[in-house]
Amino acid sequence: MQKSDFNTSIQTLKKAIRHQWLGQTGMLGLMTALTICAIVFFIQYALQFPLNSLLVYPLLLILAFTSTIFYKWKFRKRFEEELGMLDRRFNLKEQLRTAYEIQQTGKVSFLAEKLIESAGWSLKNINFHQLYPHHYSRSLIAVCLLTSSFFVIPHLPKVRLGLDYPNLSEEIQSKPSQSISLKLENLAETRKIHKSDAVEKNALEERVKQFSENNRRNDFADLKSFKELRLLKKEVKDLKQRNAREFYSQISPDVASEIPSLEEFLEEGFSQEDVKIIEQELERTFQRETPGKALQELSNLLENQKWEEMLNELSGQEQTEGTEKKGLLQETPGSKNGEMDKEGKQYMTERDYDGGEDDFDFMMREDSPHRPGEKPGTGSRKTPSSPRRSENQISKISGPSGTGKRHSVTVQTLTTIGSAEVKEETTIRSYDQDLESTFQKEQIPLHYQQFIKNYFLSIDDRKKNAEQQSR
Amino acid sequence: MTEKKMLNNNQGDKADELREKFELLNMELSKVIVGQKATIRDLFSCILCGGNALIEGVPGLGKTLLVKSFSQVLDLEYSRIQFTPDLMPIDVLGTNLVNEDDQGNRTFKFYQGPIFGQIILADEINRATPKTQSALLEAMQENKVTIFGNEYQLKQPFVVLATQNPIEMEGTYPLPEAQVDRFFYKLLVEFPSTSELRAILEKTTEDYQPELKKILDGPSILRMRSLIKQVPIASHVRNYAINLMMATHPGHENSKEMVKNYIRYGSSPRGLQTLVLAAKLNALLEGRYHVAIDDIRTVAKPALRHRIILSLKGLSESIGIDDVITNILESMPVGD
Repeated sequence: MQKSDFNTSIQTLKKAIRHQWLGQTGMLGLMTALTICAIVFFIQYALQFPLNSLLVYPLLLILAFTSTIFYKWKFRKRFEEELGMLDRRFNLKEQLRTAYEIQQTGKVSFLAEKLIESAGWSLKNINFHQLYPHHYSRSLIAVCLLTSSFFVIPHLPKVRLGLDYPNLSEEIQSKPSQSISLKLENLAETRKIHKSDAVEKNALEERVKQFSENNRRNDFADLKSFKELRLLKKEVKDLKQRNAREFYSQISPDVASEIPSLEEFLEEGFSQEDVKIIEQELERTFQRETPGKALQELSNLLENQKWEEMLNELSGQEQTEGTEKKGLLQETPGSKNGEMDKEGKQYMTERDYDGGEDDFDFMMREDSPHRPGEKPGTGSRKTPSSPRRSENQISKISGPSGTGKRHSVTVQTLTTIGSAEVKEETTIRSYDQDLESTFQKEQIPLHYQQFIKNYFLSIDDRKKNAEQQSR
Repeated sequence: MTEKKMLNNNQGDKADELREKFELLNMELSKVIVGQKATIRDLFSCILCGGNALIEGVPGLGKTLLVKSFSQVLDLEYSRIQFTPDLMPIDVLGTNLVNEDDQGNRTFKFYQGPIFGQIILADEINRATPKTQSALLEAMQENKVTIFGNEYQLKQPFVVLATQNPIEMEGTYPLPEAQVDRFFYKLLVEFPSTSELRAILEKTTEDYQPELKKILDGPSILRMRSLIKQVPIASHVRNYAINLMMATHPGHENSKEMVKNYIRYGSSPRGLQTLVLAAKLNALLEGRYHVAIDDIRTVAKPALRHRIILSLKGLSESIGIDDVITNILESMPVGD
């Protein structure tokens, strides 16, 4: 084995490493490109983002390959590092790397020649094709490309040059109106159906979903039409909410006398035809199904609004009673909406309450006759954060609401009773730190160090013993 | 074909000669010394690398016997200095005495001290005063002594093998850092095992007086020193040794928590030289023509343990220097 043999082996090794690098880079580039294309395709499909596939996808492919090559080139291993890995793999104890370095520097000595000779033998026994297999083949890449193209091309978004916008707009407006399910007549019958029905979900939601799917299949040529579509969808949502409130007002016996007419729709720009369609749909749908869960949600929604109005009224009149505790907004039994109390689930926490903290300002104002947590006329002022409040005491706030109706509000907050204390661990830790700093600052004679250390260790032992005894 | 077979196919080369000599030396010493294989190997490394050794161990472990036996298997001039508190530098180095010739003329004549040998056994070196200890400094580092302004070169190879007892601290003078740093290795003599004790009894309490053959002479040792320096070392292995040495410094950015907590001063650059030189010899003894990272790790403890100084906290918590070096080595794996 001569020095030239070592050179030959090194060249063969370099070639194998280069081939493997190319193969790995190609495969990684291909996978990156496919992944990026899939992500872009998904975004385009889900968000209906308009992109011209003829330009974007080739650009993405080029970008992915370029970035992969750049990444692989920048973080590629040096040849010496590859040799180091071979050394470790075959337990050659840095033989190859040292031999290569000696050869590169040209240092000539008896031992250097021996080393290169020995390294040549080692390299000769290594099968580079097994070490650096080709991670790619032309047929594999062809199959991969063909498969991916068959998968991607049929699903690429089509570009539509024109859009029949007025027709689509009508379609969008008519669908939500058709999907509003209410029947204005025969309310008692309707309510029974609502309570017993759990078979089908909210017809309103279903129809809006259907509407969205119908629209998703349509393509839009430019961003403007896409934005308009979103605006229209927002209108659908608003309409749905508005009609839901109407729906609740229809089925609630307490407000049965206040059945609104559909004139509101006419005022908001709906045509007579639309209103007719709504009426027909309400009649048809209301006989068939009742979304029980949705009904509950709708009732909550309306109740929130009622509470908001009620509290605003109370705030205006500044007539409050009772005290504030426990963090729950509760309606007292016997009030107008007493059903809420019985069910329990209707309680709202302060956080859930739509009005937010501002709505409770009337409880905290300085000029109010008496504050929450006080009895009227006592004159003592306790804030909600006072640590000595009694627990589980329910306070009431009541007063005339609007035109003769009375409401009351019960607020409960969590309280904490106890005294502050410093944890024992904190104290011990501070002592330890003092000890460490003293050790570092003071030059303690060697003879005393062990004594001091033992003293503190014995304190620790005593503490442990005391803990064990206490247990 | 493995590297070892390759070596065997090239009989007669210098690396083989070195390894053969070491094996022969081991065989000869085993007639007198029981066990202590690692100590013998490290002592051999010291002599071949041109360094001095500080041998530490409790009394009765055969430290002096080991050095004496070494002097018998090496064809070198041997002298022994028993260090005592009243030993003076002139007792070590030599001095000028008035000499009167036949004509009655009186002249000063230099009488060489025991330092003018080749293998110097400095027995219980920590019992002498620092003044006497420092008399060895120049000889250990520069292989020469200066007496009354005259320089005297020492014969080559020159090796100081010093012993000290770690437990009897009463009336001793711990070696200053400057002198400790001049020792190539600090060797710790381990207590023998039961089987070794049995063999020691057989050899020392019966009529057994072996004759030791001379294995190596001065010129051979010098030739081998030259060979050791030719062993190739790759840059990354050299960097590993540098990083290892730097990791013993508490102020270094890569030093570990244990070093920062318990070490006051790290190794000197002499420690780095020792690491590489000893690793080269270790590679040759292992049958390799190049230094591996494993060689650096093998010689790290004897090369660095006397060059690292514990902090007050380390002393108070009885931290072992070898534990610190082990911790550093574990934090620096071979693959990095």
